[in-house]
Amino acid sequence: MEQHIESHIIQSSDDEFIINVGPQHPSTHGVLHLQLKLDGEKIVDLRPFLGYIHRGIEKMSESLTYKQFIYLTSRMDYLSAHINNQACCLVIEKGLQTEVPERAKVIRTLMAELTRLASHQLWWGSTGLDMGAVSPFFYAFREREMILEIFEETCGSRLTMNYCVPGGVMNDIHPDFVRKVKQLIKQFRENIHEYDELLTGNPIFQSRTQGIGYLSKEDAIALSCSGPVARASGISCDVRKKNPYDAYDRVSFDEIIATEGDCFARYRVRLEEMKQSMNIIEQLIDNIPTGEYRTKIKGIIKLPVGEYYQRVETARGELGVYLVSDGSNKPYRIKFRTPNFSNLGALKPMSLGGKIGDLVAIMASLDLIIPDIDR
Amino acid sequence: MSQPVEEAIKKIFPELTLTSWAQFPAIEISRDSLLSACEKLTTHPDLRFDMLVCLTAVDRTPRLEVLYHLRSTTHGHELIVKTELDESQLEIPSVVSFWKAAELFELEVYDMFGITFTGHSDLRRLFMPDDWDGYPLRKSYKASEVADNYLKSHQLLIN
Repeated sequence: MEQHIESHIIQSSDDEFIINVGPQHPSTHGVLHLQLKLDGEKIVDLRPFLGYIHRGIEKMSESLTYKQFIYLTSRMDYLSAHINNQACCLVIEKGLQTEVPERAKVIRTLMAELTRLASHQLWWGSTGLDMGAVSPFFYAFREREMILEIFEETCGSRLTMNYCVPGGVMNDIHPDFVRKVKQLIKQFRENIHEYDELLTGNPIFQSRTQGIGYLSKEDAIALSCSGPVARASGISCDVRKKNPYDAYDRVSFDEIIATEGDCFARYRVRLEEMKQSMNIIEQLIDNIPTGEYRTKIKGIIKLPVGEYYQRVETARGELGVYLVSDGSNKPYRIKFRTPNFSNLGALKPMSLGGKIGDLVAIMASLDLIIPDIDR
Repeated sequence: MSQPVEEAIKKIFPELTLTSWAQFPAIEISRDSLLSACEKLTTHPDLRFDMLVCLTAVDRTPRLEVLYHLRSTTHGHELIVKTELDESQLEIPSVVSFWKAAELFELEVYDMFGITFTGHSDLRRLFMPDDWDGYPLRKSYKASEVADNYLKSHQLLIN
């Protein structure tokens, strides 16, 4: 491994030096290895090294059946596990031309938005933590814990729920689901002003994020950024608006767009997105249709020969599933276009010319999940 | 998806046949004319494909398909560009000069399929170690054999 790193070392002159950040570094939120070339405190060059958590999910999927490979995708972006599963189920349903019951569509959408809330809350807490504010983490986990308890009751699991199955959802919702979700929304609405008081209005936090890590709109497009990262640079790219799936076509919500393109803009976009997620949940929670929660699907799924594609909006951006079928019971080739992999490309233009201390703020505002990059 | 992009493609690339890939219109471009086609795809006012959403490959032994999923943020239309390569000559020009996102995407395809992108400034194994034999997503790469060989060579196999 040492040789591997040495052979790729960035060429440096006398007054510049190389520093390795990661793979075990708290601010990288996982096993991301960055090599920085520094001139004093200024970042002159940056190269990411990946593969520390590469599991070969795409290769493994080729030897698993259509019902089995879905569970691997929970382990890509583990904070958007349900949304990943949803994308896979949607692509299989597209291939089978199966219509999902209305009840399942609404339950899936509700779960997806709760997942987004939980993911953004964790991001908000860890952003504070990265910049030296420890208490936000506990405030964020107060509501997040309620969401995870709702998941546990209905799905039996807190993080990798595996609740989505082709044709609908695994089980019907828990009898307490509606009451608890309403209670959660009520409490979160009452508490969200604390988020602003703790971080948004904090002068230290503002001076560490405003004007830091600028990403221009042109760069964001050229680097194929998506999700809050792209929306903070002024690109309208919300898949839920542009290509609605499941129940998103029947809810009204705003796509949050900022134009500043700095860390603070990305912060505000995510914070506002949480409020929009609550709006979506409120519109759906009282109108969950009655009926089946799952249509019957044959035990062995075989998709007709051809190509299938489905995209969804995870908490971090656009996840695209490209599936090539050869008519057998296993996918011939499956490709996950994960949002974090392309968002990683934005790290370099954001941090070049900045100070090494800003890198932590930039990493926090990108909200990278490394297993989603490595797959 | 929308009609205008298909008509524009027919007008600008009259020699190509328009097919489809999943729900998107698709065109097949030969390796030699890829760069000139990319030039037209990015700059022509009716096309303006400024975003490379995804770059991937499919192993259809003995040929490999390289797929470019393009999107225009100004017009909102999408297109799949397909290039077929023969297994004996896995080389394709890099498109980094058109879309910066290709820098990472091409590394992944090189790592997983062994397709060399000529003109890429920093072509290296991205996920696999540098001295790794074989390209995992090729159909000839049998993961279970690789694992067995690894265990045997490191004397870790029981029985």
